[in-house]
Amino acid sequence: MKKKQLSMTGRIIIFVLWILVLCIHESLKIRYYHTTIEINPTVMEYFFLILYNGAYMPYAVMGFLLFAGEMKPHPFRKDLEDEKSLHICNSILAPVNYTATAAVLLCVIALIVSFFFGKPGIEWTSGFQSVVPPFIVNAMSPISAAWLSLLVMILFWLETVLFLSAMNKAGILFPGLLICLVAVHWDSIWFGTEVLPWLPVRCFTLKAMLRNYSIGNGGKSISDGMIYLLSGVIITGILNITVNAVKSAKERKISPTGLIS
Amino acid sequence: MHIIRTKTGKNGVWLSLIALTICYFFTSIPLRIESSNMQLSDQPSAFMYSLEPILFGGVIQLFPFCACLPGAMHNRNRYGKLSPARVFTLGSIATALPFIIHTIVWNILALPSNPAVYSSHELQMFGLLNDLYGIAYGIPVYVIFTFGMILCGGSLALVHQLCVIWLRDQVAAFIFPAVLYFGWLLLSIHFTWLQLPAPMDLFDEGLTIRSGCILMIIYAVIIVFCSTRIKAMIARQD
Repeated sequence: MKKKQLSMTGRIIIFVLWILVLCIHESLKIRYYHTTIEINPTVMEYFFLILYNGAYMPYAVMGFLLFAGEMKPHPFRKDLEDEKSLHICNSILAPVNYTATAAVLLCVIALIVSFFFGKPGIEWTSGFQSVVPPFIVNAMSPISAAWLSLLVMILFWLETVLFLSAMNKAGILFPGLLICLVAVHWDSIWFGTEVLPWLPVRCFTLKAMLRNYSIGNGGKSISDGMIYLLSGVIITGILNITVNAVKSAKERKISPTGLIS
Repeated sequence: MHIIRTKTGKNGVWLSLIALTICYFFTSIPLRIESSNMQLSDQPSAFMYSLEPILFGGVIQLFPFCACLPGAMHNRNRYGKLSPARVFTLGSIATALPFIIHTIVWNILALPSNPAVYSSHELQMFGLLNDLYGIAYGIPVYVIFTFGMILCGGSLALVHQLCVIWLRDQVAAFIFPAVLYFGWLLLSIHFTWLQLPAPMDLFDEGLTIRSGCILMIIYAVIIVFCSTRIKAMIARQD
């Protein structure tokens, strides 16, 4: 029997459905909570709150992994003959490409779900300070807060997918996948008070960032969290390029023609 | 793709065992540290230490992945031809054995549950567990939980094998059982009128006679469906 290759359309459909389920799950949680404190959030507040919690990141990251799969390089880059460009494409462009597509899809779905649940409006509702840290409400509009949340998510996804890409090329994809999954569930696995600052779970959503870094100082929490996220992206990016280059060099040694397959 | 694969999937079983066992202890050790200043009779019982990672921790979130890991790290061509019974066993071992090891270790290190003697061992639990935890040092609960894990882990491993035979993309095949598991969980949380038990209710506080029976039927359906499909696909391949 011939095995089926999950097409890009198939991946997108599964990802969209999964994210839709998670956004509805988040919205129902938000509605339930806000009904008890008698606040009716606006569309943009819903949009922000969904992204604030990363559309329930421990589950959302699974949808993303399903979407990215084994991460074949994007077809439009297959024609590259220059070896260096090919390395960069395989190591960086493909993960960036998948992350960007996933982020756009998430954004659209979260917005649609927010329109369904929220009342019209783009401003903060009075009394919202009790729901999100006052720093966010005082310093930003719901739209900019939502974009910031999305940026955090994108950086985390990028870090994950770069790490997995490196693990895949190193031949230890599934142990790598397990490390990622343990990392995103870390909060509910380790019950101790001390959590290492570089663990991705500490900054994988804006909510986690504000909870874990420089507590009580919103601006510093975000800048500290962003530094950790960005350093994570850079380190995994370098790791990915290195593994790719080493693997290509090994293949070249093996191949009698010296051509990269 | 060069993944560390073995003919028997032993690496996957070992990796699952190590990962889950570490996660179990990471949740229960902080509880031990917190209560280290108390006298032994005032400390939580072995039952509490054993069940803390399951009832309050996130170990069960890793079940679908750990159940599929032996298959994912198995030789790909051979795995597709393995008998469903073998795959079920691999998935069950990967998920249930860490719980058994963790439970045995805590029953050695801490006092076994005996609420009749130690007031610190008294618990207020939900469902069937409330009636069972005081009987025979909690052994009936351990047995039921192990049975639940065997059923759940084995079924997820079978779903994974079906995906492996059917799909070319190994990551999609690995993640798909987890999407099924968590999708089912979300369904049971939000559509309460359905009165559908969560997939982990056989080893959680949601366990009642009703939910236990429904879950056993659902898992039986999954096992029978996957096994027949896998056998049919293997026969077609041959």
